[in-house]
Amino acid sequence: MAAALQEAGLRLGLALPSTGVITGAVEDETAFEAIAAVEGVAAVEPVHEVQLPPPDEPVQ
Amino acid sequence: MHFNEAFQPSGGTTGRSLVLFEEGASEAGMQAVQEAVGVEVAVAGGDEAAPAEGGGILFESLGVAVVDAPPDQVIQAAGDAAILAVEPERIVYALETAEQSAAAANGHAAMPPAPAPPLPVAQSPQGGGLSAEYLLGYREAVLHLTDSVVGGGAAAVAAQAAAVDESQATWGLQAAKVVNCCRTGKGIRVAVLDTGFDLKHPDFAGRSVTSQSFISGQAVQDGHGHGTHCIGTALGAKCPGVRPRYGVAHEAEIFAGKVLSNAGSGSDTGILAGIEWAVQNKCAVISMSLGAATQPGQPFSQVFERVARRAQEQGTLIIAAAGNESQRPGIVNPVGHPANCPSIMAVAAMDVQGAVARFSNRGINPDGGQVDIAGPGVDVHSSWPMPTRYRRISGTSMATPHVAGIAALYAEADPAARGAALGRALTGGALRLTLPSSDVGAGMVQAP
Repeated sequence: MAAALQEAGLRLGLALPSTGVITGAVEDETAFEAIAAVEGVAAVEPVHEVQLPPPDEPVQ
Repeated sequence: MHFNEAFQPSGGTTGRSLVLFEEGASEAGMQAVQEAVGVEVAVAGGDEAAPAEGGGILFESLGVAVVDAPPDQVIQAAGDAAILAVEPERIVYALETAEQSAAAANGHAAMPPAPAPPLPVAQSPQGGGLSAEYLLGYREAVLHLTDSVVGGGAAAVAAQAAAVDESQATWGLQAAKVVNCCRTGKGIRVAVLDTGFDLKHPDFAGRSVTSQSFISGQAVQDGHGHGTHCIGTALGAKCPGVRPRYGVAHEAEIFAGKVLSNAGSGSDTGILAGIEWAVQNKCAVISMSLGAATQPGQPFSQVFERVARRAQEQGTLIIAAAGNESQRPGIVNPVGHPANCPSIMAVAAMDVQGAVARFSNRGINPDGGQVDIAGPGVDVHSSWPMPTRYRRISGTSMATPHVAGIAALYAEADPAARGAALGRALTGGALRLTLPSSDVGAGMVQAP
């Protein structure tokens, strides 16, 4: 499957077998459609970023 | 054996008694009652629908008998042979709406139920009285409306007088009934995915700690503080170097996964890697005090939902913070990502007076996006990297590890409580509150 994903435009990052996830990078979001079409792919999403407040903030 | 004095039913009693026998002892118990009270008892299953005059009827499978004698007579006479409780038999009625009882009181035929206005402010009673239930419900609605607009729970008014003693244990551990719980989380692995951990913190000496960084270029050692604080709440010592006690599962195995940098930033990539690591290491619980803001109407992540379900199938429950983007009462935002996934337990924050924290998000988005449970999340004292050692902060980030630590206690108590079943044990055991479930889910988390 890795090869098929690469062909679809995914630069492979991590493979996480227990949860069935592969992370990676793409040139732009147009690659999503091709990746979603690869057999065995259930979903493709852009990553969310998380940011905590600075340590001295009272609400964390 | 006790007489259930709490039951002073207003609906009327029959003069008969309900007698509860110890399991397996109903025959012996019934013998004793028969002899003592002098009633003739039939075993249910025959044609008798009710006890014969001056007699009794025994429901063997239930271990309960109805005896034609008043409770005080039964207790006195039977001593305590295998009898667990005696209660007066109550008269029960079919339930009806307020309109129907008002109409009945007026002697009119019961009106067909019309859609009732939420607050019947303009309505005046048509002659006959409005029932007590109706008026109590009205008062509840007014209190709730006031709370929503003015902010702060109605409970706050009542509780303000009560000072909280945090000399031995934090208010959060008290509110969650952790202090007197005998469970310790022994044998349970809890993963906290956050900014890492202060591996040299003296309060954790001697604990089993496994750690892993998923932030390239950074070691697990916590350079922010958030991770150390959360681990403290979920897993801190029973007797820390300096009181009060602030941790729940003090004998659980600590799995510290650094998925947020020392600057507090991270992405799904690191978080997913941390989840994978925790699942592979058979952690029963993953605590994630992290998230990204969502918009009203935004769907949840398909990827995280699937991952959470796969984790559940492998015995791991993911618990995450609902998010702090709200500023109640004016601004209320939806539960953030990834807590908004149906298979991830979303935790809201409450304060010591029983009110929802001003920053705590609400279950606004349909199809997922709900708040599942609430935990103590305002003014939470816990560990912080040395030399500061301890700090008091607020957030749904602080409520989440309370739930995670308590999850470890449930997991220890019941080997079958894993994955989705563990989630149900938590919500089933929560303290129900008179607050909307969109704000507090099943209520305040409670230790087993």
